[in-house]
Amino acid sequence: MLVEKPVWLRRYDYFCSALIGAVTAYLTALVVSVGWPMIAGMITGTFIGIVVITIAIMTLSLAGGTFELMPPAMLTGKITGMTIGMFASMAPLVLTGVILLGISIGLLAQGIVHYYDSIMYGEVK
Amino acid sequence: MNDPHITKWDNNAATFDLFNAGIERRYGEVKRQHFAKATGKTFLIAAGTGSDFQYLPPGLKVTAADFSPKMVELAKEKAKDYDGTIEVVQADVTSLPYEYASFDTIITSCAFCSVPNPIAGLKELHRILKPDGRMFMFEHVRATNPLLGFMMDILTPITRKFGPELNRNTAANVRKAGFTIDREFNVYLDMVKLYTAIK
Repeated sequence: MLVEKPVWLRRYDYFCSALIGAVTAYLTALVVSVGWPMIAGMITGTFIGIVVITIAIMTLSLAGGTFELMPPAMLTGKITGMTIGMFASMAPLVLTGVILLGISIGLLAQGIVHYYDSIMYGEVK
Repeated sequence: MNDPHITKWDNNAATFDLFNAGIERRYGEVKRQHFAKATGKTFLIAAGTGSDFQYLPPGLKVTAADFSPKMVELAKEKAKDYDGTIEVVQADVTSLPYEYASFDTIITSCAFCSVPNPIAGLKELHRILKPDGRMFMFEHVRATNPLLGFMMDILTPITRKFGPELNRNTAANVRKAGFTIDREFNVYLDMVKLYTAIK
């Protein structure tokens, strides 16, 4: 049995990860500012990421299910929040750049999980 | 009905189909192919609102059980659309009112993430299945990847309050109940799986 995964669902997975990255990055850049201790910025960013993940799982999963959303969302939200929190505490950031970085992290996280899934998919020997 | 597990799933009944629509969209075809091998007298446990009836091959004589009365009520409506017979009953998988070796096939679909005592439930399914009978399972389980598995462990105390547990080791539970796993198929990572188990 090898059921082809619908292309639109694959695209939706990437869209969700990119959105989670963008929103986490944007909110973290708004909250954390220059002068914060770096650790505090990173922890705050991670916390914002977890909040975004929770809301995303409750809403975005309605269209594509929870399972495929959860692993990349966890990676994206936490890594984006931590990274942007760190940078935002060090220097002023351009919002467009921040959002693009969040999207990039989301797409990369989804790509890694997608690759990992393609290796694992199928019969367990 | 003061059992908190029953109350939890009763409370979920009205919105169950809405929150599972994405899962059905993604995995419906996988389930249809897996359950196509069901034959004869079939027992479907944790029927929920009956959303899995559409994936059963036509012509079976099915007994579908759930321990939530509100789920059973909704499932009875969906059972009317099935091309065969489906009797929907309220029953607890750890104490089923059927004799030894009553069924040819057992089907589970996201059931053993929710059954409070999974090994007791699986032992009961083992009892009611005929010797050499097959159990076809579609289940989500704890990932073996340490990072993912850890995340699932952290989330489970939260998800358990309103829904399923994420970190079950269903393959081990199936074996402890006396089944032999004949086939294991990773549908998504090693979190969403198909099992075929033999008595």
